[in-house]
This record gives sequence, C-alpha cells and structure tokens, in this order.
Amino acid sequence: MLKIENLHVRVGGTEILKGLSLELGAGEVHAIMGPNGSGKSTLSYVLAGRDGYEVTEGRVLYDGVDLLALAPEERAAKGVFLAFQYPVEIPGVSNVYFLKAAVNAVRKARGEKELDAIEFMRFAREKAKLVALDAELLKRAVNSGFSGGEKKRNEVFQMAALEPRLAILDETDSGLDIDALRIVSDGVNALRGPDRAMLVITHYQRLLDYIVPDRVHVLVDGRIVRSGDKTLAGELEARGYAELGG
Amino acid sequence: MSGLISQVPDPAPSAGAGWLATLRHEAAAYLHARGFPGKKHEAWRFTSVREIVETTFAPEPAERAAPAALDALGDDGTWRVAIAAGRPWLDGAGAAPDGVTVESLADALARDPAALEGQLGAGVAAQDFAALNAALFTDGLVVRIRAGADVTTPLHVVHVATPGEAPRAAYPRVLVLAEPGSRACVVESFVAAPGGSARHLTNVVTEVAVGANAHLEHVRVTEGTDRTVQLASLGVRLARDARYASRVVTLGGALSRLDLFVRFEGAGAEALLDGVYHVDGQDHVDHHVRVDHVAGHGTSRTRYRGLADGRGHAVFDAIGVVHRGAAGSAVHQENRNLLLSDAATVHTKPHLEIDEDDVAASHGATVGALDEAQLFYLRARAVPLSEARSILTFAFARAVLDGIGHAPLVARTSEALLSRLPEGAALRGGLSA
Amino acid sequence: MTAPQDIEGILAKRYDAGFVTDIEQDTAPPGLDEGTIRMISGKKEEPSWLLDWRLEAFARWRRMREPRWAKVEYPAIDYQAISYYSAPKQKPKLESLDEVDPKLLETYAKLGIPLHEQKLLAGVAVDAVFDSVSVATTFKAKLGEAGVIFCSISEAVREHPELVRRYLGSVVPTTDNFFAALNSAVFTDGSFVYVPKGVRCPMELSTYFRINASNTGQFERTLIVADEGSYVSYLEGCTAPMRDENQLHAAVVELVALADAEIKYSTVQNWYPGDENGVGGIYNFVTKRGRCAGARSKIAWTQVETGSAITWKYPSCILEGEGSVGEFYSVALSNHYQQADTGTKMIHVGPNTRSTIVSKGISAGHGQQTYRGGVTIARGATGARNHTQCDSLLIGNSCGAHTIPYVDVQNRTAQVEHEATTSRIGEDQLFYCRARGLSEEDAVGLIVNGFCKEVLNELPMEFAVEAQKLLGISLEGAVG
Repeated sequence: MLKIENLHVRVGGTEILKGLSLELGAGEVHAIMGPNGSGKSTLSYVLAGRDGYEVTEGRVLYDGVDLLALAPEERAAKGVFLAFQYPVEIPGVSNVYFLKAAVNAVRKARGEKELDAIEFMRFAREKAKLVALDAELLKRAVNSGFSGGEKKRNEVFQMAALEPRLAILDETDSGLDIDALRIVSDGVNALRGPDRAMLVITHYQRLLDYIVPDRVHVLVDGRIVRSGDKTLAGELEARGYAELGG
Repeated sequence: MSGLISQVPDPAPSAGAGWLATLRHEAAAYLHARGFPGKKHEAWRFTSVREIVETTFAPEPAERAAPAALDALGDDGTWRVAIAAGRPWLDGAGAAPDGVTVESLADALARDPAALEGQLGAGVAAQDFAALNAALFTDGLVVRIRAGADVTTPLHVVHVATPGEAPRAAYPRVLVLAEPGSRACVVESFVAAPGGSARHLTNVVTEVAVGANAHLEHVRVTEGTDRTVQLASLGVRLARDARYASRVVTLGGALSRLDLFVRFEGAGAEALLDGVYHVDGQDHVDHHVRVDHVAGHGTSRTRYRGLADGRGHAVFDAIGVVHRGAAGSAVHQENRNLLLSDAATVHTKPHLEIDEDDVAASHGATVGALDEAQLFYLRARAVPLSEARSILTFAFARAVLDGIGHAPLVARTSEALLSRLPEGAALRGGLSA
Repeated sequence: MTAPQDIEGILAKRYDAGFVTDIEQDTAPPGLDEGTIRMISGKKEEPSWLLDWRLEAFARWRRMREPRWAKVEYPAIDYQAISYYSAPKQKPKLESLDEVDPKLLETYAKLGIPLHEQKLLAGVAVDAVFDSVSVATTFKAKLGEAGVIFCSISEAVREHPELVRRYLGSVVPTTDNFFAALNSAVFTDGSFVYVPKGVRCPMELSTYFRINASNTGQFERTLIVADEGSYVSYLEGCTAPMRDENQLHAAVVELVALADAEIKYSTVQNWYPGDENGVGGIYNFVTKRGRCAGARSKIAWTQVETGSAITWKYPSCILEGEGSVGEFYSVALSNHYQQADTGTKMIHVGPNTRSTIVSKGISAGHGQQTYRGGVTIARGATGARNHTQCDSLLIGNSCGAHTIPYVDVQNRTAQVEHEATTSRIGEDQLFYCRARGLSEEDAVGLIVNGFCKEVLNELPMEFAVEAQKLLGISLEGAVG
C-alpha cells in the first residue's frame, strides 16, 4: 500500500531524512522507534504533505500513486490520516462542526453522500464511544482547553470518523498515563483491519505492549538502521539506541 | 549583628570545595551582599517581611512533637513521613510503597553527594529566602519514584511546626524525583503543633523534577496559625511529555508566602497549577507563580481562587513567560477572588511575557463580593445568612479542591477549609461529601 | 512552510462596493469657516436656534486639538481641503420614490439595498443617505400608523423641532470631543427615530450611508429616542467608492432610552478600507453613545467593522436608570494596512446596572488593532456588574493586536470581570485542517466564522447574512 524509496528530506537547509526506505502492506501495523531528532516527526509530516519539507531524492508511492505530488487535503481525501504529535487548537470552531466539515469534504471527494447534521451527530456519538470521549468535548472548540490526554483521544476519534486506509500515528502515546494509554490503544486496535495499514511512531517502547506491531523499525539519524519483529522493541529497551545505531 | 541575617554564616572563599559547599557559599554571599527583599522589590510590594527579617530566630529544637501531629491528621489513606525541626522522622514511617525510595537528605548527601548534583538547587535559584534555605538547611527528604512505577498510595510529607516561647525557625529541604514513565501523587502538608506564643518560621524549599512521560500530582496544604510564618519556594522542572498537577491549598497564617516556579524544559509537557487560599483575621497569604516555557508545545494552566475575610490580606501574582523558540505553547492564567469583608484586601496581578509568535495565551482576574441574588435565594429557603454565606464561599473554592485526585484528601482539605468559615462546623459532612 | 503571503492571499480583499455613481452633484467648494456653516444651515432651511447651536460648536472646535492618544497613525488632515456639502441635484422634497433619480436607485440596488418597497426585504424600512443628504426613506406610511417617526434628521428639524431640540446634543454634547464638535458644526443629514410610549416598532429600521463624491467629508448625525416601554431595532450600513485619497467620516450617533425602553443598534461598516498597499480609504472617526436614562432600559450596540483605513470608534452606554443594561458586541477586521482603535465605554451610574462586552478582533496582513474599553462603576452604582470578553485573532505574522482595558471601580459591591485571549492562525492550524481534508479557503472561513459566531448571533437575521458575506468576501477567491 505504502512504498517509501530512498527518501531524502531537507528542512531549512539541513538534511533530516537520509535515504529512508520502507514498505507497508494492507492490514499491516509497523512501528517506528528512534531517539530525539532522528527524523520521526519529519517522516510523518512529509507523508501528510506539510510545507517546508524539501524532498531532494527518492519517492513515496501510495497505492501506486505519487503521494508527494498531492496537496494535503487530497491525501486526506484518498485516505491518508495523520494523528498529530501536537494536535492543533482551533479557537471558536466547535469540534463536531470541524469534524463534520472534514468528514463531508472527504466523503464528497470519494463520491459518497454527505451527512446532514442529524446523521452526523448519530455517527459522531458512535465513534466517540470508541475512545470514551466525553460528549461535552464534541461541543467545545477543536482541542481548545483540552488536556494532553483528551487531545490524543480526539485524534483517534477523528481517525475513527474519517476511516482512513493509511493511518500514521505520530507519538499518540506521548504524555498519556497508563489508563489513558489503554483507552487509546484499545481504540486503535479496534480500527485495525485487513484493508487498513498503520504506521505507529513512538518514543516510548511501552506503547508496543498495547499496540502490537507486525514489524518494528529503528530510525537513527534519518535512516532505518534495523528492522525486526516485535521483540526488537524489548531489545531496544534493554540496550538503547546507541548500540543498535552502529 | 542581629535579626535573620545573623544566622547566616559569613561567606568564606572556598577553593576546591564540592558543588554543595559552593551552593551554600554563593547563597550566603548573595544574602550578605543584597540583604532580604523590601517593599521596593516588585515581588514583595504587598508583603512586608521587615518584622521577620529583624527577628532573631533560634533553630527549632528537635522535640518529639512530630508523631502527635501526625495522629492529629487522622487517617487519609496516605503513606506518611513527618519533617520537624528541619529533619525527617523516618523511623516511624514504615516501608515506603513499592517503586518509591524515601531517604533523609543528609544521609543521601553523605552517601553519594554526586548523585544529587544538578538536582538540588536546579529547581529553585538561590535568591531571596530560597538563598536563606540554601545557606542553612541541614536535612530534609529525597523522594525518588522509580522509572515506570505506578504508585497508587499518595506519599505524604507532613511538615510540623512547633512554636515555642521564643522565635524558632526550621529550614527543611525536599527533593522529589519522578523518574521517566512513573505515576505518583506527593502530598506536602504544613501544620502547627498547639502551644507556644512566639513566631515560628518555616523556610522551606521543595524541588521537583518530573521525568519524560512521567505523571505527578502534587498536593500542598498549609494550615497556618497566628504564630506561623512560612517562606516557601517550590521549583518544578518538566521533561519531555511530563504531566504535573499542582494543588495548592493555603489556609491563613501570620504570613504564608509561596514562590512557585515551573519550568518547561522538554517539549510537549503539561502543567495544571490550581490553588485556593483563604485569609481571615490578620492572615497574610501571598502566592507568586512563575511559569517559564523554554521548550515548545507545552501547556500551562494557572487557576487560583481566593477568599478574603476579616482583616485578611491576600496577594496573587502570576507571570507566564514564553521564551523565544517555545513555539506551540499555551499559557492560561485565571485568578478569581471573593471579598467577604470591607476590611479584607486582595491584590492580584496575572500577566504574560511572550517572545514567540505561535502561542495561545489568556489571562483573567476578578475580585468581587458574594452574589446578592444567590444569598437572597438561599435565605428565602430559610438558610440563615451566615450559613448561606459560608455555603456560597465554600462552593466557590471547591472547584479547586474537587480536583485533588485522592478522595480522602479532598475530604480532609474541605473539612479544614470549612472549619475556618463561620458556621462551617455545621456544614461539615454535608457539603464536603 | 506556508509563506505569510499565502495567508494574506487568502485574505486579499475584493471590495465590491468600490464603484462611483456618475450623477450630477451640487458640491460646495472645499473650506470651512462660519460662512460654510451658514451655507449648510441655509440649504437646509434651518431655524435660527440650530444655526446658533452649530456656530457655537464651531467656535469651540476651533479651540480644540485633534486627539492623538489612539493607537493609529495617519498624516495630518487638512480641514480646509475638504468639501463639507455634496448632494445629488434633485427636487428638494420627495413625495414618492418615483421621483428619486434612477441612478441613485440603481446605486443602492447594486449595493444590495433596493429602495423600491415591493422589492425590499419585508420588515425593514430604509433611510438612504447619499453623501450629505438623505435621498429616500421607505415604509414611512406604515411606520406612521404605529406612531413611529422615521425620517431624515433635516426633515425632523422641520417637522418635529421640539423633539430634536430636546434631545440633540443631550448624550454627546457639542464639546464632547474634537470630531463630535466638528460634526455638530457641519452635520448635513442623518436619520431620526422616535418611538412613542409602549410601541414596539413593527419593523427593523435601517440607514444606508454612501459616500460618493470625492474630496468630501461625510458628517451625519443620528438621533434615536425610545420613549417609555418602547422597542426599536436599528441597522446601519456604510460603503464608499475606491478612491486614492483618504476621506473623512465623522459621525455622531445619540441614543436615548427612557424607562423600560430598549434600543438595539447594529452596524455593518464596510467603508472603503484602502488598497492592499494602504493607499486611500475612509478615516472613520465616530462618536456613538447611548443613554439609558430610565429604569430597566436597555441599549445594545452590535457592530461588524470590516472597512475604513482608520477606525476610531467607541460606542458607549451611560447607565443611569436603575437596573438598566448596556451591551456591546463587536467584530472588527483589519487587513492590509488598516488600523482600528475601537472598543466601548460602559459608565455605570445607577444601582444594579449591568453591562456585557464581547469584542472580537481579527488582524491580518499588516493590520493593527487595539481594543480600548472602559468600565466605570460610579459611587452610587451599588450592585453593578460588568463582564468583558475580549478575544483577538491574528492571521499571519505581520499584524498586531493590543488590549487596553480601563477599569475604574468606586463601589465595593460591584463585580467587574475581564477576560482576554489572543490566538494566532498560522501554518499549524491551516495544515491541521488540510490534513483532515479541508481546503485552505474553507479552513480560513471556518476559523474566522467560528471566532465571530458569538457576535454575529446578536445581529438581526438580515444583517447577519450580510455580515457573514462581508467577512466571506475577505476570504474568497484568492487561493489557487
């Protein structure tokens, strides 16, 4: 589904990704781990289409299509979803209104019928249950005044509503306590399916006890230095990145 | 030499001394050079320490008052250790919960001084009264919550002041180290033993380091009396993705001053800084909260509620600083006060200093009286006036108290506040339930 | 990264009302002296008391200095280079709309304000002011049945001199400030409303101001009096052609609400703001003030300000009557090089008076915006309450927002609350929306409308639609 080939990316003149390659098939969940500054967030932003990330070499194919040529909203419409490491606050725009606009924009692009207000509320309440999101938060402005944990749950809630084919979770576990981590992981696991691929980026090995990946990749200094099955995460915990980076 | 400064040893040049000796010498030198703050210091404009500075305090004798004070607190489901006369009473505390080590600061420094280098003194700069503590502390506690530990029993440090017939002082120091991925609740209570007629000064410094992705709730309750003077500093450092929830409850005192410093050192951290204070009689309570967003994507919410009655005096000052480079920070400050008498005074000043574009910020402050319409409504339902006032006063404060994550502590702090309100005794149980 | 220009691009504003009507005008030569004032008064066939009132204001104005405390910058205004009177040539008194010059009707139709009654939105009566004079007032007969007087102020001076004389200058005295004094001396027209005791005005009243002539100042004067127990909702709209020179607009609006009366005054101000380089545009120096004279009276100001090069405006309420209520809801947008120093004053004099202030400022481009709000609780205002909510939204990195609240409390029982927020729409918010499938245009629209919702909800239905459209114009058609 997703094929990244020899990807080189510069940010503000500095090369961050230095030839990253990765292949992710439908139904698979891959984890990417790495120390601070290894390029994890750069990878997620490049895949979602943020400006300011200059691809100098390599390519990214999504269902055979050149993903990098698409605008962010086109990628979203084609089923690419990024759960942000730092979800953005949008004052004044209610969470449910925002999501309705997003869901309908995506549905429209897919040639599906747009949901009216009543249909959407029913749909949203259903999805909110998945991550035990308080119904009050649906009415509040997008991420405004949400706690860190609520923001992360809101991301997974949006993911459930937008039903992506490729989900990139950028440090969705950061800042969560053990109870919140369980809720978020259960939500993510419920969304696993044969047609959906997930790329789970994390700083903390603990997440992979809850979302068990098919493959684990270790990202150090802009390159994947090792790949393996889930036992690799445990090895990392014990030995640290430095040893594996060599 | 007399007064507080006479307690501070003269700084002697200390070539080749360890980091701790350097810290102490610098603190003492600072005090001898600068003296104690007066009214011309912006941070001390509304709080006079002249009388305290002129008092000569004797070190508090190490009496066996601590266990009695602990018993007086009743059972609140916490694991408890007392600090009195500036030193911990660990023998009566029993084994700390799993995942936690608690050690006397003096022992820890004797055993392995290098282990605390870069921790002790890193959360609170040695200025003003924190310098006094740095120069004079002899003992205290080191609480370490081990990486990944999920500690369900709150760790309760009870500071006991025992006033005597002549002015006494204690200089305890507490270090809380929450290692990466841990979760715990630390409680600090400040109580006074009955008796004594002279002033008692507690000059305490607490330093907290919350590691990456660690969660720490920190409850801090002061029950002041007309003899207690507290000059306290609390410094908190937050690593990447750390979560810190502070609940400060300050109930009176001849002078209760807290300087709270929170520093966002790692990205994506979050701090919830809640407080409630009550002054009555001649109480003087002063909270200064400074939040420094150095790393980005952090969120801080400061939310203090104040109750001012009698001839009490309450000061609240909050400053939120967003440093250049701390993009994506969110800083919110709110201070609401109820003025319950004509003679009570409230000074409030929440403000922001922002050096970065990509920031969400808000601040607000209110000072007002009880809502006449609500009072009337209660009285029309046969609630006597003074009781009605206390019900509404308590309701105003409980938004903060209810945030405490441990139910027996919510009950204990609620009871402590209620007992200070007129007719409050009658309301106990009913309202704090 | 999305360059700031992109965001500016989205906001690049199309000014729809910028055309000039080619009509024969009777315009006085530039210059201001006593003769000018006598000329204006003469053209309007005014009684001598009003001429004396004007002349006194003029004498005071000559001794006053232009205020400089506002956070706006503009070159000195040459008051002798402005023409103080301009009117389309036509018969002085209109009996029916059929006599209105078709070019004028066309002008208003183009602005979306058809003056033919059958084409009007049902339930809105319009007074159209073109440069210095009122050219048409609709639905007068129907209003007359209810006893409501709605006419140009010139007509009111002739037909209802006792009312005008009693209330003119009673809220904004001639010497109140520099621009109010100037207005008092040279005002040419404006609207007058009187709602009698116990009458609920059967329809929305509306004045549409249009500056057409070049080098002309517009100095209109509006006076609304709501007698005991009455209610009126009044709407004001403004536009001007695109011209390279700055034009001065110095209006005065006075509202008087007697016991139990309510006045709702809404403005959608879309004066020409100047081009994207800051050339041209209207200087909007306006004094608006309402007096809640009677017990339980209420005055609510709602404004959506998208136009003018410079705005200097503080619609205020003097709350004298016991339990009277003042409200201020405002959205102000400054784009390109627009500058706005705006806010309100709530002066609590009587006991149990209440006021609410909701101010939403949007700055984009190089726009500069200052909220300046004063809340005064006088000694006798026992139990007074104020709540102020002041939010600023910054779009891009070159604009600025400033919040300056003044609070003066002289009564202990008062409750004054102030809340302020500042947020910025930057690259982060836009990217977040786009990653959820929304286009950049939709994202900005969503954010701006969401931000203003609280205020737009206060506008009467017809105006809310217009206001939303106006904000929308700032955002549409600029991307891609």
